[in-house]
Amino acid sequence: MKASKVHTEEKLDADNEYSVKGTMFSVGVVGAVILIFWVGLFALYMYRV
Amino acid sequence: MSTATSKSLKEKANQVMGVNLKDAKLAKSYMAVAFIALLLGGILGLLQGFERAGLIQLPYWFNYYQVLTAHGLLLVVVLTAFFTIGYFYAGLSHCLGGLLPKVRKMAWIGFWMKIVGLVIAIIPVLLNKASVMYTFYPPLAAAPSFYIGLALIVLGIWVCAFGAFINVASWRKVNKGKHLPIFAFFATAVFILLFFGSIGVTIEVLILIAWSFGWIPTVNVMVSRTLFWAFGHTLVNIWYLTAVSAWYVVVPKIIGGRRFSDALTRIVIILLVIMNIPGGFHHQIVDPGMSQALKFLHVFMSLSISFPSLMTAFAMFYVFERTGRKLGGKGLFGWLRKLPWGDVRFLAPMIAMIAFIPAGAGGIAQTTNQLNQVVHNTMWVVGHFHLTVGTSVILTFFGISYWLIPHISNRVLTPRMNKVGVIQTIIWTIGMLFMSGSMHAVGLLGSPRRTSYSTYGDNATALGWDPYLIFVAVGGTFLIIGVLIQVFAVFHMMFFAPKGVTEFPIADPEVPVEKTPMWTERWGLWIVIMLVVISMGYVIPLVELIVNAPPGSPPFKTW
Amino acid sequence: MKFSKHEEIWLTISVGMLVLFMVIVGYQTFALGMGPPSNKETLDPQKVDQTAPFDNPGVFEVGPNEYEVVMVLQVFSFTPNNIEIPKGATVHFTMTSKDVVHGFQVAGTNLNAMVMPGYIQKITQKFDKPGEYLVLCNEYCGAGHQMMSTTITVK
Repeated sequence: MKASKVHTEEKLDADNEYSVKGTMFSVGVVGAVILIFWVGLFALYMYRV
Repeated sequence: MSTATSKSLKEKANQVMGVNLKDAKLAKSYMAVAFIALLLGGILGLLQGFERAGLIQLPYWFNYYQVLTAHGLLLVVVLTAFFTIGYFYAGLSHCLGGLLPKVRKMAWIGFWMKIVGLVIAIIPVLLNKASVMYTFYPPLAAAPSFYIGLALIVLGIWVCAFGAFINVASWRKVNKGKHLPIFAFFATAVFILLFFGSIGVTIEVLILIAWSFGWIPTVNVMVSRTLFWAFGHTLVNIWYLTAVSAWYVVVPKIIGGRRFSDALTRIVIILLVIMNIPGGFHHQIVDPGMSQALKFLHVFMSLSISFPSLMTAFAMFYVFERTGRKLGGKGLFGWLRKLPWGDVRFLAPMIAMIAFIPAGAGGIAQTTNQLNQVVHNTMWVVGHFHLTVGTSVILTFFGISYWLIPHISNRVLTPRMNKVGVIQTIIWTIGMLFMSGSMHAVGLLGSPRRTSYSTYGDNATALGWDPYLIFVAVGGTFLIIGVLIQVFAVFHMMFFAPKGVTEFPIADPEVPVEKTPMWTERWGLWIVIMLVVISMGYVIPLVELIVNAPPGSPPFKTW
Repeated sequence: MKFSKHEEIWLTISVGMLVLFMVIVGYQTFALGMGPPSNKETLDPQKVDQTAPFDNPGVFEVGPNEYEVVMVLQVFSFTPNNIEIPKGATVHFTMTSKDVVHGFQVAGTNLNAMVMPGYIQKITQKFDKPGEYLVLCNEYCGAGHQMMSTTITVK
């Protein structure tokens, strides 16, 4: 299984290894989901006031 | 390279010694009870789903509310408590060099106290003398043995918590100046929350024992309810913290990476301990007897619990991206493809984490004060906790089982069993999508929770909920298949899988290793701050509810 | 021990969002009086029938197109039931429970409140759209909980 490969450090260019653009995009999605849920519930609340 | 050699030495030592057999037996017993509870609770869940969809009618001697009470008890008390304790005790044994003999004994005493407590509590449920749900809000009064059983379960959990404290304290004594291993750090946090979080509910249960026997005529219903939720939401976060421990510590190792910043991980744990208990108040946003200013303070307290989770979201994606790129992933999404999606030990917790995105978002939305009025006590809430507990937590537990059970059984996970696990994970995910999705939707339309099938006299609004409720039953059907496969997998791995050594996967810290400040180890201080925060949250409302209390309520048996 | 710059950006934005949520609901609660139902009056739960105003439950006109509904919840019914009110009416509900904990919910509205024995709970709603609204108990209260319902008809 993959776990056995743990210590095989591969040589890659440092630029690629340390990029966090995927992380920033992903947490952006998390933020968007939070916003969608909140705005959705808020809209329903205001519609029913 | 000295770290690499010492590492491999340690691994060799682990392989030679393997798992401590006495500790393994303990962990296996806890796991066996947890997954039997899953089987029974799952079957009851299926019955409920079908009754709620109007497809079957449960008989009066085994009615919907009895089934619902038992389903809740088995899954949110028995399954989670036994899994959490078994998992952390196995981990403490692994990373602290075995349990102390007296601690092992305490864990066994705790085990039997919980089992006896469970039997005593479940008998009145089966006899229809305790159809009060696992929240047992007074003045609904169950038979006294129901509360006595619950008290025994809590005491059993306390024995286990103190056992863990003793083991950790003894390790710290001989390892002065060293950081507690990260897994033991998580365990300490969970047992602290289990102990302090359940003090309030224990007081409540003791009062209810006296009240149900008739020794005291009436009970303060608002105080009882407040004490219950001080515990109830902490319990939720205990499960969550247990799942999070696997996300931070285990998953990075399985994908061949390193774990996130040790210091920030420990800070997330400390924050979750400190801020947790007052969060329970958001279950009482539409209650009488408490001012709007107080409720707003608690909105702040509830939302602040999401801060460590926001940190976790970043940490997880960071670890995944870094590992994926190390494995050759390029571009914005290439790293995602490099992750071991075919490995159930990764797939299950990964889906669990993804599920926590809408689960956490829903939680944030519904806890913001008056927005709670849109969803309070509707099926939305049921959908919410089938995402949080039923997916984020449980799927992580399932993922853990595929290495923990082989580890403590001195067996291995075969590629075939891995495939079974992948299929199980997919079935569970589909089932929860149907169940949780339809529950969220029908809740917004007004369908209440904890209510057996009803058209309310062919009311048009209520009839409009029926199509959604059918999907609850569809989801339940998928889930029972998932339960059966999972229970089969657990007992197969425990008793029939090929013999061999399976490691307890604990990831190494990030390189370059940064120094974690020693103040993170000051548990005494964290407990004091936690108690201060609890006092800020609870002293005012409890004093007010007691001082301004109306005459109490006598017991009612309305079923 | 420090946050990376990227993590700082994420935490700032997400916490900013949470603060914004609190500002919005806080403004609604304290400036517009839209907070959740939180009435603090109490009464003896065993003497509901003898305590005003619950000795005389019913629908009362309190102003121009403004009504007060004094309501008692008990297993497994609402008193009064099958309420009728004119379109556009603002209705103040004043409620208590004679026995166990009940929940008062009207599907399709923001009416959602716990009704506890010993406490007087209050909640208000304006009914702009005509039609029949389903009132139900949303807290498990016993064997007949699924039958505990009534209607509000807005004409």
